Amino acid sequence: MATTPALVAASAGRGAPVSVAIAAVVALLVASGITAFTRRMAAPGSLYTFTAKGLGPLAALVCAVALLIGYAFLAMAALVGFAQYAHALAVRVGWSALPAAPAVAGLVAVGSLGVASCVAVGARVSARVTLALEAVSIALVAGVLVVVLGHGGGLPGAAPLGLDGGGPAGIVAGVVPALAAFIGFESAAALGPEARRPFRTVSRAILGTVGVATALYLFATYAQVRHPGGGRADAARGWAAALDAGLATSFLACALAATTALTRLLFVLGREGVAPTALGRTHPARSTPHVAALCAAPVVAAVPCGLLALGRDPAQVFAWVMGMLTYGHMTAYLLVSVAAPVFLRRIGELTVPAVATAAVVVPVLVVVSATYSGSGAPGADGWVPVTFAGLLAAGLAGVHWLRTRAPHRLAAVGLYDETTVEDLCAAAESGGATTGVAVTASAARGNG
Amino acid sequence: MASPNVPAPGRLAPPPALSLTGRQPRAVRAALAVLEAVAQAGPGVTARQIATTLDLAPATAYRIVNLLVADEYLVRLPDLKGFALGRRMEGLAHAALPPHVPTAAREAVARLRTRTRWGVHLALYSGARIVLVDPDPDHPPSADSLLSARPNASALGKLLLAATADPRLSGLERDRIIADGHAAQRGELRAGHACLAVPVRGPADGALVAGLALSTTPERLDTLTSGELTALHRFSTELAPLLA
Repeated sequence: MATTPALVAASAGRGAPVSVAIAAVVALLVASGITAFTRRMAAPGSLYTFTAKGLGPLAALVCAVALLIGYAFLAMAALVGFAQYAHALAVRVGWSALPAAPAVAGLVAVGSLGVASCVAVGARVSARVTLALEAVSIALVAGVLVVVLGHGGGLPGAAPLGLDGGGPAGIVAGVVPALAAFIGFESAAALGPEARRPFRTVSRAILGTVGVATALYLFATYAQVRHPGGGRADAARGWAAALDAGLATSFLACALAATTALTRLLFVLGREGVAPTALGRTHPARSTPHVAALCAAPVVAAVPCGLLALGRDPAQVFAWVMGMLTYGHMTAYLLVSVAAPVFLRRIGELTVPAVATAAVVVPVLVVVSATYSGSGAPGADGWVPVTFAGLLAAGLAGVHWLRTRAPHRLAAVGLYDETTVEDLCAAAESGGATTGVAVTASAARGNG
Repeated sequence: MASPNVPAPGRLAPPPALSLTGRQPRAVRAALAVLEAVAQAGPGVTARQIATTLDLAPATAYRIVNLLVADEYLVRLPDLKGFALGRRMEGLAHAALPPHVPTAAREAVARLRTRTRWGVHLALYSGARIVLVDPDPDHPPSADSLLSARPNASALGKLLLAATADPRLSGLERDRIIADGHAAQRGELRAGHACLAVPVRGPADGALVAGLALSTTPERLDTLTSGELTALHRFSTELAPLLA
């Protein structure tokens, strides 16, 4: 909430609120495509499973690779963000013995270990930790914003921004960092199988997340544009420390959420036999996907630590990782937006608004991503798309290998929670032996 | 993401605070017509077929169908195209239809009435509800709704509570009902009225399907002989294949 406005304003200047508004509309359109699925099916594989239902297993696996990249780098970005602000806080209170890079790397490693153990221990624990972290973070950040902005000052600690520049191209380039702030709004989609009345609650949660986030970001961006720079940073040293603490906890909560989503996706892929089946194993006592959680944690910690070891400074690493996660999520959003009308057509429920949504959102995502990669925004340097394309290609090679070696595994792609005989009205079922058999047979076919 | 306000299916929901004026009669009618159309067409009917049958705009039909699926009145079948009535309709169907009692069972109960000096009622169990399907016309019993609302005060209700191990019945009383094979109440529901009920169990699985109640006064219930009780149990065994 407090970093996004600065990132958007870096590209869009005074047009930042416009960028945020455009991003909100795009996120809402993507969300409406996703809810076309969540109103009709409950799947732990979320966007990956939805793409499978619309575009088939190959596109779904591309989406899975993109989402894996998206969630893994989101976890990395959040950990780096956490480490940066935790380090800044330590420096502010007087512990400045360590140089930045090793301190940040150490904090990233500790953070990833803590997050992975939360996920491995259980959903109840990680949900409570997330809630506690978010409560602390929102209280701190909102408190600082109200007090400091209320006095007409700028955000303490934030570098003064040049607000000239921008223009239409800047506004378009600013849409991507603004959209990146919405990333994760779809995460409720994976919770359908665990929710009560999932077809209603999940869709509401997704659209509600976009709505609330829009209000928060518009407020924060407006505040940023009106009061840029930290004119009163020195006077508000205590507030700055509170802000650092709030941002660090917020990033930690984000890392936990991203790791949960990443673990869930790895678990589904393992279950379907697309990824190594060990990933689909659950802990015998806690029934959590502990193998997937413990495999994800070292990767998530190693990439930023490696980049820091190569001599990049933490801010550079953060921007680079943000770029990667943005490309991953944009690809997944693009695929699921295309998949929605195809899926609706397949089940005979296609409507004009569904087609119109896809027709608007697909070119917008393409244009915005292209503008972003051509802009000089942080995280948009040439290596990011190249690395993303390389990882995607490696994933596709794996898919190709799977298709030639074990084509039957592709048939398992797209499992979801199906209607079972228990969900049906018994009176209707006993209406005729033939209909009862037909229901059971189609249920069995779906499970095969 | 299970919301704590959403009640478990089958449990009574507290009335939600809806800001609803009820001024969308067409939407309500269309939703009920969709339910009817699915019931008539049977499992597997698609949203498009429903729209055609009811002459609704497709987008309207899809929206209504998905709302009904969200509230579990309908379910989407595994092919994701077809629909069937959901489990939530079961409660409505049961409430709307009086359970069917074969003529042979009614005739058997009528024969028992001519041979005994007590009032004889036959009740069926439908989930948590007690439905008096054949009350004795000469000894009018308490209303079904009263029996269902206060099962722990009636003999027929106690049989049901004992079978479902419901906490409203003390463990001691439950054990005694299971050991005796019948339940009784003396003036607990209405002063001056007493009742003794024996279960009618499915011959195959032993599940409680119905209850046969003798109704009288508390003083006369104490004069019930063991011979009469044995005859009543034998009669309930004879009734079982007609009801289960």
